[in-house]
Amino acid sequence: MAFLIGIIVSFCVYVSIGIFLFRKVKSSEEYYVSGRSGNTLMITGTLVASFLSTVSFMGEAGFSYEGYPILLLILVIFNASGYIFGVFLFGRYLRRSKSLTVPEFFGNRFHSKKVRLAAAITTILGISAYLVAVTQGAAVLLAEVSGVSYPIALIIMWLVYSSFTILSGAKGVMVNDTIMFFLFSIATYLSFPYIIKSAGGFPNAITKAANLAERPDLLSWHGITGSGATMGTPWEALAWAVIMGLVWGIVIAVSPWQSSRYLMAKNEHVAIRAGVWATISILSVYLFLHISISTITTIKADIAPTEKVFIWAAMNIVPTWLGVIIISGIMAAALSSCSSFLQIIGSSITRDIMEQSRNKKYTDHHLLRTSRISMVVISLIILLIGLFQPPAVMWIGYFAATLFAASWGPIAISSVFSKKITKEGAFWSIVFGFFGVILGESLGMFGISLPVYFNSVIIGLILSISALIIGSKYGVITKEEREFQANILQTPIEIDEQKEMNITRRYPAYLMISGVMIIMVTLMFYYWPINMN
Amino acid sequence: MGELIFSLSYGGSLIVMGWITKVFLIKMKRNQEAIKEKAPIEKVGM
Repeated sequence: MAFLIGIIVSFCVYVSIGIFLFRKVKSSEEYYVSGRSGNTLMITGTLVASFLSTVSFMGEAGFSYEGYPILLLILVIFNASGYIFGVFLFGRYLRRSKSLTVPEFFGNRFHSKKVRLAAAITTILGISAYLVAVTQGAAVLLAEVSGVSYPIALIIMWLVYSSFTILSGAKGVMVNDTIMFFLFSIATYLSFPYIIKSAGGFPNAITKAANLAERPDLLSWHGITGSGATMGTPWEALAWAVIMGLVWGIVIAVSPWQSSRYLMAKNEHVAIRAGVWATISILSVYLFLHISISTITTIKADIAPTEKVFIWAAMNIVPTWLGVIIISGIMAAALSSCSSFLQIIGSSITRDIMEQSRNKKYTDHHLLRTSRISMVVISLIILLIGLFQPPAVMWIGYFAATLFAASWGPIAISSVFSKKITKEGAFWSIVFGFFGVILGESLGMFGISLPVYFNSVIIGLILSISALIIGSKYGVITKEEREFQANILQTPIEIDEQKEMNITRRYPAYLMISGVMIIMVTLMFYYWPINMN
Repeated sequence: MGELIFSLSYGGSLIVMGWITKVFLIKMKRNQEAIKEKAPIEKVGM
């Protein structure tokens, strides 16, 4: 009952914020990019909250529990770097463009409706699939905690995130994301000592997990490998982690639900600082979460499905007050991603497809109203898909997210720095990248299994880069394209630039100090206990 | 051995990111100074 009350209270808070901010949203710029007023805390909050979801707290937690916590953390080393490379190589230029959506940036950069449309369609298809997966994960959790049936739980989830997103747009999403970011971060950090204590205390819990008969090699660097395991040999497992980490790094750097957060930043310094804090947050949240999860195996090794492991811990081995925070935190992680996804899909449908295909420019008032109507329609479609499609939290999420690494990765970076890319190259790069991933995934249906170093994302990336190079041999680069590129490459100078730069220059030190602290935590809570025998 | 490498690399990646951020910021500062030398106005760029 306490869990249900906690969830209801948190839901009421999010919806109330949506209703309150609804009155403050007066223009499309406020609805799409929160009036470009986001400070460092809020941009960090929305970056991390829109990235972490049920895929992280359920799908990946389950994967970790099955025997791969360290492999997942190796993956995180590479993906978290996407925030630093992303903000410096794409995010800050995207922000300078003053676009309202990422497809709009591509359309303006290549002075092409075709490129904008291709980017918008991939956004809508890819994010819709991801939104279905995350909503389903949250509904599984809500059904588990409340005792209501899965379809009812799905409808409740849909009602909550749709209501505040449709009402307040990016403004409400950013505020709620920040609250949710704190909620699930606190849940992760506080659960660590309690789970360790329940599993036998420190360092015994970790030593026991490392030597568990049911999960041999659970805490080794490669996880459980060999015949019958998810992974093949240790080196194949490592290759998987590195490749998927790099792919996810590209997702973090260029995907619409991450890069669009920089459009809301007050200035470029805020975008850079938020990228730094997001890197630190992701690495620390994952470290504490996955060490905790690995020790749960010593208490109960047969939780099924494994995606429920963190939920099981919240309901069975931590004090009730903390369980309430954990359950509300997982729910918050799901809701924050759902709301960001819905906001991006709705914006893209209205601004990049409806407005462009009708060849007319909406008035600000009309754009606001049409965006809200589009979001209602798309959220209803997502709800129906969620009701009829069986839940698969991690793998659908991974597939949908990585679509963007292939279809957007090459074009995002080259759109900023290359002077040779034409609109033809850009268009075909997006199309080939997108279908390359789908082709790679489809091979599995015909019983063809691909090696890890040639998985569907790699196929998509190779096709996308090839299409970009070959396509750019055709077409001409217009004056408008050159001017747009020159403008985004112009470093902005704020009125109080010196003061802003003095603050930002401290951030490399923050990263390095955090790095030293995390090394100490990893040695103390991982390396030392597993080598005690 | 693999476990030790991981323990050092996980936090070590943040140290590397710190250096990379430092390099990007130095480059950004240099660009701004070059712009200021060309056109000493209060606010430029998008």
